[in-house]
Amino acid sequence: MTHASLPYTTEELMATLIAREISNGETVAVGTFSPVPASGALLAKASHAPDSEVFIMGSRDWWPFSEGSLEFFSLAQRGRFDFFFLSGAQIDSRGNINLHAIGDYSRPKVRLPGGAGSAMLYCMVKKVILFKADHTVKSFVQTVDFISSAASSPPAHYRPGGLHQVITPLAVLVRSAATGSLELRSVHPGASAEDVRANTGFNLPDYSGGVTETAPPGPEELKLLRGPVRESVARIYPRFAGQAFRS
Amino acid sequence: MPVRGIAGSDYLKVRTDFKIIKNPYGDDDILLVPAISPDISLIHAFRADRFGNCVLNSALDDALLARASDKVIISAEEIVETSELKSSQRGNFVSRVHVSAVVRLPGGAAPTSCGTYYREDEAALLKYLEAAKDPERLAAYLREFSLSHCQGGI
Repeated sequence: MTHASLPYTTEELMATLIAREISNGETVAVGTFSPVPASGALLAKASHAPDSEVFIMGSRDWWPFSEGSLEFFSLAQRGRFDFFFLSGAQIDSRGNINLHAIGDYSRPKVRLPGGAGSAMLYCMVKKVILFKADHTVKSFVQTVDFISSAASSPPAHYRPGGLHQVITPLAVLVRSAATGSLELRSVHPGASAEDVRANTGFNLPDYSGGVTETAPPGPEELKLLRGPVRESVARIYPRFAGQAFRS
Repeated sequence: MPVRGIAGSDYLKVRTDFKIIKNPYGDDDILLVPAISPDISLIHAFRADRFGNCVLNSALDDALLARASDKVIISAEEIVETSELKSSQRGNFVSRVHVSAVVRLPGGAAPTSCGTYYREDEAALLKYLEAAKDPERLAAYLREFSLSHCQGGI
């Protein structure tokens, strides 16, 4: 989805958008297979959020726990994380995600790796950002085949957290407080609202406050991404670091 | 075991052993899930003594796994004297109380990494990914791998 004419890659744009959401002092946790969120969290830490705590699963440098994921998930259960990042094979119009099975659960067309801790984290992390490497009608569907992580819980259950934003290669989506459905918040440079809707498998209304063009990464953000962030990310995701950042 | 969250997902439809109860200490509903207690766990340690006391990678859930399992077989990079076993920055001490057997197995975590002992072997991992597509190639890979990696361990 990278446009050769733009002076940044899609990964650099998405990481920048993630970084901008993080305020100084917030606690940011990044799970496995999440190089773009890891880059975004490290960009925030390297720029406007130096006092933030950043935890990155699979990293030697950003994983201070002495009880493995037990300690990590216990912190999540206590509601101590401000940000976490999830993706899904499918994301639906309500913000539910599917990491478990395409097709019927008992006879799946594709059996996916499973939800791991996501069903819990989606409820217990204050702000969850969904990120997706592709934006297509196959991945953004009306209703997911299996809800591995629910965007809403039965009212009797304690739920301090939930969906903050959906960040894709084309756009930023948010969940309407009024309807509970996803809305188009901003469109990235090089794409149009029509492009976004043509690649979304459900009706995507405009955000009630208006749709804007996504502000592209600035020179300072790109400098940090291509310098210290790339260097740090390369220690966790060497292949990604070699491809995602422009020289 | 009680867990916050998860309710609202389809896991409650397919896991009939997940239960929802009234929180006895609050006015909300809370989910209970059954504990997982493995019959046997195979865990690779940094160091162990001949009694089964060991130091496990603290970035992983190995110490939890050792405490949860009925039988625990420890393989270790090094067998050392008990006095040389200490928790370190990246290691958790686990008592022999939890351990059934110990095996000396240098290189036992390869081709993945093992603390300060060795890094992951990317070439071997890619070779495995390729070989795993076919049972015969996988068997050949495993034969070659065990010969080249487990020097003196087996």
